[in-house]
Amino acid sequence: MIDKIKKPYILFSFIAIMLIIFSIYNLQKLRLGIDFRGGSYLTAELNKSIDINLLEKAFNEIGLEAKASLYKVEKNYKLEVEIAFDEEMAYYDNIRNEIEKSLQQYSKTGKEEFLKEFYEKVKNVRSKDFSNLSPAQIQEEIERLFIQSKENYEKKIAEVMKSYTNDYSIYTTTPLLGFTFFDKVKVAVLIAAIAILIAIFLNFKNPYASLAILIAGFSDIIVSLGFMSYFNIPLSLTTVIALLMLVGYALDTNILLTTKLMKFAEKEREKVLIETMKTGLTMTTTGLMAFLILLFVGYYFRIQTYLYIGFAVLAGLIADVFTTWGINATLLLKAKKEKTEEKG
Amino acid sequence: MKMEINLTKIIIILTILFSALSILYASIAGLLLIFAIFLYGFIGKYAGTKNEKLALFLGLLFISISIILINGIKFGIDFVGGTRIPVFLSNQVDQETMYELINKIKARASTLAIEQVIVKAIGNDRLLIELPSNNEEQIKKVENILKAQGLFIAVVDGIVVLEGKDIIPGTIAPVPSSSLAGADWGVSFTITRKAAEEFSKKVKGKANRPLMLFLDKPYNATVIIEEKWLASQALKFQTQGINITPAEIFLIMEKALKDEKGSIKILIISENENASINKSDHYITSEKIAKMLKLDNATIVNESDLYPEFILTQNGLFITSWKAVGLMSAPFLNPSVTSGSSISLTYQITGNVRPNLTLQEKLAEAKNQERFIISVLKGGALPVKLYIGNKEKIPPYLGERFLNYSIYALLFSVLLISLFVVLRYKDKKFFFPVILITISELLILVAVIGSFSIDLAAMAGLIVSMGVSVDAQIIIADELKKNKNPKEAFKNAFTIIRTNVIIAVLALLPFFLTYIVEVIGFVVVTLISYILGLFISRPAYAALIE
Repeated sequence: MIDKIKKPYILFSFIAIMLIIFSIYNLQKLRLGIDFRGGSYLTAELNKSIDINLLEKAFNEIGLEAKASLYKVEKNYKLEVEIAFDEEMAYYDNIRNEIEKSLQQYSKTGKEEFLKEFYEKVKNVRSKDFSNLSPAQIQEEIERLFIQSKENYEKKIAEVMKSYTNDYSIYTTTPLLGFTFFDKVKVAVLIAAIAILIAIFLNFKNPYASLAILIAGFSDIIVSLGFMSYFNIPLSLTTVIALLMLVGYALDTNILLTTKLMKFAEKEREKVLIETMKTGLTMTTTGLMAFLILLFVGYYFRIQTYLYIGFAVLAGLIADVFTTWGINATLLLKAKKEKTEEKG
Repeated sequence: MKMEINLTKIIIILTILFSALSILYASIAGLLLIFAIFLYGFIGKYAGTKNEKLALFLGLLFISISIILINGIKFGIDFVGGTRIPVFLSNQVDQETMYELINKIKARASTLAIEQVIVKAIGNDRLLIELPSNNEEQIKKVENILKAQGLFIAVVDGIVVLEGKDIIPGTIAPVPSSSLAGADWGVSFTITRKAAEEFSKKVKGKANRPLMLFLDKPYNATVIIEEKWLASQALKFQTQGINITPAEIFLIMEKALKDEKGSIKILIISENENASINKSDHYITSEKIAKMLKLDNATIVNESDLYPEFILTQNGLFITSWKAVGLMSAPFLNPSVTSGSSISLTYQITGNVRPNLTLQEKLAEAKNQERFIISVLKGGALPVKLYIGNKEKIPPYLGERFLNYSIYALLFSVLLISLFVVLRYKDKKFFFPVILITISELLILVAVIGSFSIDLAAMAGLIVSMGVSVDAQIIIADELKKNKNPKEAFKNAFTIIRTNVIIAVLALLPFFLTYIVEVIGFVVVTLISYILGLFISRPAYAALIE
């Protein structure tokens, strides 16, 4: 079928660019998951349907932002609620971390200025007077306040949930831990990106080809993120890993194409392109099938990990068909042409 | 020719060896299998013939199947049901402390006979504890382990000179060997300024007195000891040329237990005497004495921990440790800290190990004592304070349902992709090996991950692994179909596959450095599947299709 379209890569490029524009437009709506911004994720099984708007409103009334969804799973209903952090807990979480930093530095260096910094930081803690306590006692006190605020937060949630069910599970990430995770993930992604960049460049020794691969890979991630925001799937630990998996997987076909065109093919570039495309599409199809099954099981039985990984990779893989065989192919054909012209 | 025969034999012998080891040491079977994958991959570089390449692949498959059949597959609580307890640490800790913490919790759980507790670190200030049970009693036990935090005090001549809360958290650290000045080990710590001033005042003029380090000193308890032990101790000292009566030894012991906050009584019993026992008191004694006196709820300690250990110096006889009453160690105060003239915030406890040890034993012993003192100063049991979060319970029926769905998804994925490959290639010379190898590869992956624990993320990795692993074989098959020269076709295909694997590994590897365990299962499955593919199964596929 592909043989019949005369220059499929032009059509594919067009579709790829459309997808990218759509995604960039949606990107601003991308939200961070509980893992990265802190908050609670509550799940419960209910034996009857409930009005989730009322539930959200009940949370709002006590000052907690919440987003609920309800799904039918077999005979029961599965309730999922994402609950934002309350301000008090975030506040103590931050303080406890700040003073820990000062004390650690003080103990490492022995410099009095860090102890001063420590006292400075606790001076204005919610009009509490810490003046005759030792640093360890102050730390303990703030720790106690933090735990207390955490318990209050959980009590508030329990209060709302009481009228629905008492049998729920809740997973809480403090905002600070969320930020720490996010920072670590950012570093990991950056290292991965640089390592991939170097590896690609060393392998092809051609900046133009390397750039083409990077553009294709980067576009896949943008499209995946764009569709995630459109379907309200948050950027979380799970989806970040899925995106990296996508990079590894999507670049497979790009590398296949680039190797074939830049290393092996001397003539009949377009014919080689079409042949390679068949191989590449076969590869992507098997991947699409696997991730589709994951997505399907995740969606149908509400297994969030499956759903999110399946969705993020699937969106990116579909985009990859168009970026690889559209954008990358066009760029490579052009590069190869220039090179042959130089030779001639 | 001779060389080639040997290689196949070596592979067979290695395979039997690895299978046997994996079954004997089931707890490290996963690691052994990963090691085998790398070793076989290395051997693969020297494998020339088709048979050798296949032998490598079949060898790994054999090890994996023996692991799956005999050791079984472990599933996380997502699939078997259980309880997940998030635990907050009072402060951020370094890698080493986290490791120590996890091991201590595990060790205590196993002494309490709570099986299969999984303790994972999340970030550097949180733990996740999973136990495959929803039994309230078991959960309570685990919570009790987490709550136990020792109370540390240091006593000199009956005066409490330092308490655990005076030590600035995070300052307790080993002294580097370069600044030990003759000692074998040392631990330094920093105390608050206020505590330092008090300490300096209290220890003034107490040079060379013992600084008794107590952990959870059981005030108001009564230690019951045997009279004949006192007599035998006195006799022992007399043979060393020291004239001391049992009564004097008793006095030293009694004095060591008294401080301004309270004391611990000592009750001496002799075999044919009826001791006056008050059932409501808290007694600490050995099993033998408890039986003799019919004490049901006394704290039972080992015979060796029930009695103190002494040290003889030129200043007299001192107790160095007495586990039953929480006296962990008693270093002597250096004259430099007892002058009272200056105030120091940082202190060191140093010590020497027994003489006549080999250098290696010396180092090990020093490290042990150092760690022991660190753990005492930190309040004993656990190096940081822990706060228990909201428990998450996964009922077994739900876990089972998840597992069933996942297995269906896995089977369906295998079926669908196999079908697709059949339709795409039609020629069984091409598709048969693809399906065979991919399914075998899946089995190897299950054996690796199943030896640790298959959680939701790892299961997701397994479900999609098939889609990933056929890809390289598709490249080989298509190259072979197009290129008349099979040698060149293989070379071309492997050039592409190698680059693909390198890129994929580079993309995922940095995540190992984040120590975020929640997603590590997925990363591990994917990484192993790529490495396995490059080293073993692609060459095997090429050999089969040739």
